Amino acid sequence: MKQTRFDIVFNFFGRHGKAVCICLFLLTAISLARTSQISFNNDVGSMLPESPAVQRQLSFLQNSDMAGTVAFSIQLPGSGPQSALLERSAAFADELANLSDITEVTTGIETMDMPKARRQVAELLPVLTDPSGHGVFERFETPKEISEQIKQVFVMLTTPGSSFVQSAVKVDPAGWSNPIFDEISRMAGAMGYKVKLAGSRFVDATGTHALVVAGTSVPVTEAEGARRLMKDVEDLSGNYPELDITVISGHRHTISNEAVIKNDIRIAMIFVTAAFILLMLLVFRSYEAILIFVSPFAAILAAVAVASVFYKDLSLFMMGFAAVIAGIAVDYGIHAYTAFKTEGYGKLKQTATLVRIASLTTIGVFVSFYTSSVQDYHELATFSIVSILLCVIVYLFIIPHFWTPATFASGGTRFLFSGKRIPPMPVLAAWITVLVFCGISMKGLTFTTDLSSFDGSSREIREAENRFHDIWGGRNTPGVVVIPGTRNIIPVIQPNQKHDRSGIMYRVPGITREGWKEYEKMSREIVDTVEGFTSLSLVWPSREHRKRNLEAWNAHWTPERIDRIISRVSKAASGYGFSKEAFSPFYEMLRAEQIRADVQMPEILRPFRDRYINDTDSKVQLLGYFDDNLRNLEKAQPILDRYDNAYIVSKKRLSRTIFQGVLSDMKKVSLFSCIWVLGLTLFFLRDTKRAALALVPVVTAVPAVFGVLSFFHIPVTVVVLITLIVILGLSIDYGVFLSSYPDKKERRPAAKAVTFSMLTTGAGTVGLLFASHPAMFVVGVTMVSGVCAAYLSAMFCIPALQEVFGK
Amino acid sequence: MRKTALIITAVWILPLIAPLTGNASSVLDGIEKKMALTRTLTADFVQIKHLAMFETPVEIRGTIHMEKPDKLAWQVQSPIAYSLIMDGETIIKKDGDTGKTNRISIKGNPVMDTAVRQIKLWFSGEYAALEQSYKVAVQSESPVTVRFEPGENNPAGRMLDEILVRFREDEKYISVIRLLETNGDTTEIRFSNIRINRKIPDAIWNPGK
Repeated sequence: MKQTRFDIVFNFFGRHGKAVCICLFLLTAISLARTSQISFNNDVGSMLPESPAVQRQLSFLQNSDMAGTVAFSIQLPGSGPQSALLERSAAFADELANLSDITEVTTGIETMDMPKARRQVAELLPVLTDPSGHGVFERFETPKEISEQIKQVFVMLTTPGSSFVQSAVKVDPAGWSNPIFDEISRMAGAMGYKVKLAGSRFVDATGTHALVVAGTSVPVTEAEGARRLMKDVEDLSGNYPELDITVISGHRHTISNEAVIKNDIRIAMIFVTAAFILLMLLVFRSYEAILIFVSPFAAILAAVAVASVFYKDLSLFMMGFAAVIAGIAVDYGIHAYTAFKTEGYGKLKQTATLVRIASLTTIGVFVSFYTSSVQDYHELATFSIVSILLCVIVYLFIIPHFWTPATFASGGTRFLFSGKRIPPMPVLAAWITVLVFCGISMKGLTFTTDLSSFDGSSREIREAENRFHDIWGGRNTPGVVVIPGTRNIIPVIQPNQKHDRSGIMYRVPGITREGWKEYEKMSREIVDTVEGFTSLSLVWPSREHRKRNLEAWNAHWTPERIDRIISRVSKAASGYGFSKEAFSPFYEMLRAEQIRADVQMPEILRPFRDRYINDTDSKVQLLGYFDDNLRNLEKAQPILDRYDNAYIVSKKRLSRTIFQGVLSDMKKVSLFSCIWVLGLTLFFLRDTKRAALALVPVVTAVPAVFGVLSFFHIPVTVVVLITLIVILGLSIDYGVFLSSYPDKKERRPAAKAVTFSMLTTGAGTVGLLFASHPAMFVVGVTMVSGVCAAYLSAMFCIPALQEVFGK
Repeated sequence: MRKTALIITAVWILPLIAPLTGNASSVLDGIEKKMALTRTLTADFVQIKHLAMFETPVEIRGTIHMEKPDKLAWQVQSPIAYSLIMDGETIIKKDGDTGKTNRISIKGNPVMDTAVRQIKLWFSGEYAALEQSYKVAVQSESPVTVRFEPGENNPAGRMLDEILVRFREDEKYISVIRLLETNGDTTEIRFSNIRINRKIPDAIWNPGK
């Protein structure tokens, strides 16, 4: 009898069994060693489409000062005095500053001399007042208005607490600087946390909590550094047992997510191992089957090692699929074993063709992930393809050499494979009803790209954050407009250099005059249309703008005009008992003889620099903040489009951008996998009717998954879509095997194998139903519902359809 | 010999200083407890301001109303009529001549916020907590007169050199408060005809209606 290629390969492995075993053992040992050295990441960004817009926003959120900080809300339990709270929290902050990963610690603001700050701004009116605002001068110049304003100054000065306004009214009796202070107040309101000052220290509205904010050099996504940092913080907090310290930080999320995912993977692996052992003991009842169940684990180790060669950091989310892949891969072993044990080598050879078709379609599904722009999917594809290929080789060519042919009898599943005929019409009616029900349920289906759906941080962390936000606010983050600080020309002053007569644009590393000018221009365009917009440039114009303002001021305030004002103010002031010199600073300000365009930024604006200027080693970004809503986004975007490299960071926008990216990515992946699956099915089966029957589990699984998700109010995420594609590969396997045997008797071994496949895949995924991580949990729900629907439709609907429509 | 004299002097002075500090605390505690019983207050006042901006001292006469926790009305009758009504979040300014009212938000206005907090601080009588940010000395025990000097880290120190508060005999409220500013300006407010815990008409708090 002529040897087929299968015989040749099978016999080759049989002849070199010892060498092959040694090779497999070595491969496993090397893979184990390699895997133990691999670093894993749980960066959400690597799960999202490689859209520059998404990556840019995520990078901003992860690298901005807001993300790199650790905030501490400190309380002294009991009714201890505030002084004790401030003293103990200051001691804590001092020690915190000494930690190696902490770069700076803020406990409050340097006490600002508000009257002086107000006077400073008033003195700068000639450079800060835009010519478009000169109308207020003309209104003030009438004797009636001057008299009214002087009366108001009198009222102000005779009210208790007038000490705080006296120095400013001398310079600005008409309150021309008030709009600037209104703007500064809006900026202060946009600062994030609701803080009050106790002396110079931040406390909450009740004065019972102190706020300490620390900057760190550890990136939020760096798990190792985050662990070190949080360990140091925890140890330090332990030294202050009298304080109740609530810590919030992105680093805690990183650590917690990693721990949660690892724990979920552990639980899933325990489930799958236990299920494999149970199947082996209860169904196969033979130690020969042990290799079937061990092989996927060895293959997974090897696949991780191979994937680590191609990708720098492997994703923990990808590892979350390990149990699922083990469940898929073991299917082929079960088919091979069932065939071999039923009718020996001949049946194994026959089944090998089906295994080849099924594995190729599944592999094809994973190949389709390479069309995506998401690195995690590439990793998942590489990892899965290598695992499945290795398992198929082992199941078809290596381990059957260790099996002895025997009659296979399974316990507990006979009802499924009995000769009893199930009437086709009720089956099909039930099938259609389920599909209709799922279709109706899908109406309530929601799709979310909210990043928090990938966040599996522990409840303790979420509760701590809720506590923190209840005290300090800051729950709703504003939208951010980002524009490069360095553009068009080389920086006029190199980073970290100082200039003796510098304004902010010279003293901040790398900001150019041109950069600030663009920032100001953009801000002025946005502020009129976007609600709640604040920008530092709105109160501190560019040098060129300040120069223009000063020129316009001097053109307006001619010596004759100033003399007229002095005369009118003096007359009105004398009526209220003011001295002749009372408003001399005002007259000096009008003359603007001492003021220059390159004056320093006033003291009151300095606390806002860190908030509005994001400077890192490599770049400087100038920022504006606004209320994050779709209306504002729609208005701001066309303005931003006119500026090079300017963009918006918005949680709402990010969600929409992700949605668009995911959708376009998924279109590519699903189109490729559908073409692959359909093409291969048609190619191998060479029969349209059979191919259509093979697709029955697929067309059942997809609506069933959506129906179940909708029923349980679980929103569809990108993870669901990936899992669905995996289900596509699995379901087609069931279809291929069961549509290949029109005769009930012939179908029986295949039905048994498909049942065991479903059980093993189910075992790999049921564990994920107990997962704490939302992404892992949703994989579990999707897999369990999809695999069950695919299995039931394959087992009952394919034979029913064959009976109704002919074989 | 000089050393010995110094030591003897120190030995004599130390016991005198120690009780004084303790005394200030207990006096403030006692006053705070008594003033805590004052829920509302209406009093006439005369305020004399010596400000560099004015040619001569300015004398203001009017009425003050206070209702805990955070309402305060400052009504001036002469030399010009106006009133300021403050609650926790806003100040309502009313012109006595025209009757026009103007509402100013304190929220987000740091200068106004500081001014209002200072007013409430000195008129509330809650002085015990001030020991953290002020050096407190009891100048006289009958009538009780306390001197507050802003501490080193107290931002009020930039404006104020000291605040002198004299209480009524029954210590239920202040009789005189005197503020000395760093630039030499002074403000003295004398309270008379003090009525405690009487209902203050609602119209006082709603001048626009």
